[in-house]
Amino acid sequence: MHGTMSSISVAGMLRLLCSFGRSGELLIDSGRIKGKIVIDSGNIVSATAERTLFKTSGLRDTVVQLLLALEEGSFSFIELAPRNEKPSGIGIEDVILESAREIWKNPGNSVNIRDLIFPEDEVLRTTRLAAGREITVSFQADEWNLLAAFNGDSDIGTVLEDSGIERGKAEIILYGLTSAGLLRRLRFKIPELSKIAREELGNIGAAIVDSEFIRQKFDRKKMGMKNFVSLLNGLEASISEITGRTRAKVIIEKMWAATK
Amino acid sequence: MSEEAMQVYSHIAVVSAGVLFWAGFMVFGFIAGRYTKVFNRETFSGLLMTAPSGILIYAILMLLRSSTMVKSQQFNDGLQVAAYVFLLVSAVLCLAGMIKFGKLLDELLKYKG
Repeated sequence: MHGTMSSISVAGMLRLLCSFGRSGELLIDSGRIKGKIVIDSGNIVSATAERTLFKTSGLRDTVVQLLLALEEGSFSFIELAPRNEKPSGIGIEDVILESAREIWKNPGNSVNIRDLIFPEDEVLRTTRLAAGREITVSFQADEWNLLAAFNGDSDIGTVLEDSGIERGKAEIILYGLTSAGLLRRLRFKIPELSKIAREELGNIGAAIVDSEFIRQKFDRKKMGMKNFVSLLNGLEASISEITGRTRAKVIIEKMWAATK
Repeated sequence: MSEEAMQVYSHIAVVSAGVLFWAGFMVFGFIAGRYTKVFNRETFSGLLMTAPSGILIYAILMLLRSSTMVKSQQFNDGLQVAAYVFLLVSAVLCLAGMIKFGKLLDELLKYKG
């Protein structure tokens, strides 16, 4: 298996391999960072680094440093037969969060995570753990609070803005939480309602959407799912007044489709 | 066709035209009312619905004038003047309502958000 870091983060790939209980070597090379992480039946058993941004001490630290390989580069996974080695006890979610902490602790490394986080209009919620699964993760206050704020209602942009955490740091924490699989994306995002309405009804469509926002007193940048549903109901009523029910239903269905 | 039959047909035509005018403006008024509701902007929808009543009144007064019930020429003249005044006022108010509604429509069509 071979991949580039522009398509998926090393952390995300490692978590997937671990969650599927795979065995083998994940080879990482981003230029400034090079090394490999060995997993056995989904557990991290060893790691070696040829190049890292900082000096490493111990297995956990080596894995953390290798997960900082976020720049252009590639990774590959060589599948091996399970060897039933003794697990190191390193939790993949924990080590991913630690690697995210390393990013904001050392801003001088200019590691860009923007391309690795979801767009701002996506809605996330906390992941449910499968029955029988256990994870051990140490959270810092900001990480926990941000995780708790993703309740499946508001979009990413709103949650980050309301979190009170400095934007750059909040984005890095978000990268850590999503890479660690602690947040999952809902099949819902706030679409550009004005654009859809304008396409369907011309400028009057955009005016209807803006009037509905004013009527319902919603801030379009801080809109949750409940507000969105209420807004769509209002829009359906308003569009029905102008174009009739049948046309309104078609337009509202388009708006719904754009949330997925 | 006799003179009397012609007069009956003209009266029917006047009343029908008045009713149709009034109904047409009522529809306009309803549409304008919907725009008022959706955009929370004044369109004089109430005026559009009530102003055409003058056209109906005009038709009724003209009918009365030409009927045989009214014998006085002076009264007939009064009826005619009143009918035309109602028609004029009604037309002015309808125009005012249409201009107001037209302005909103124009704004909406040019709306850039």
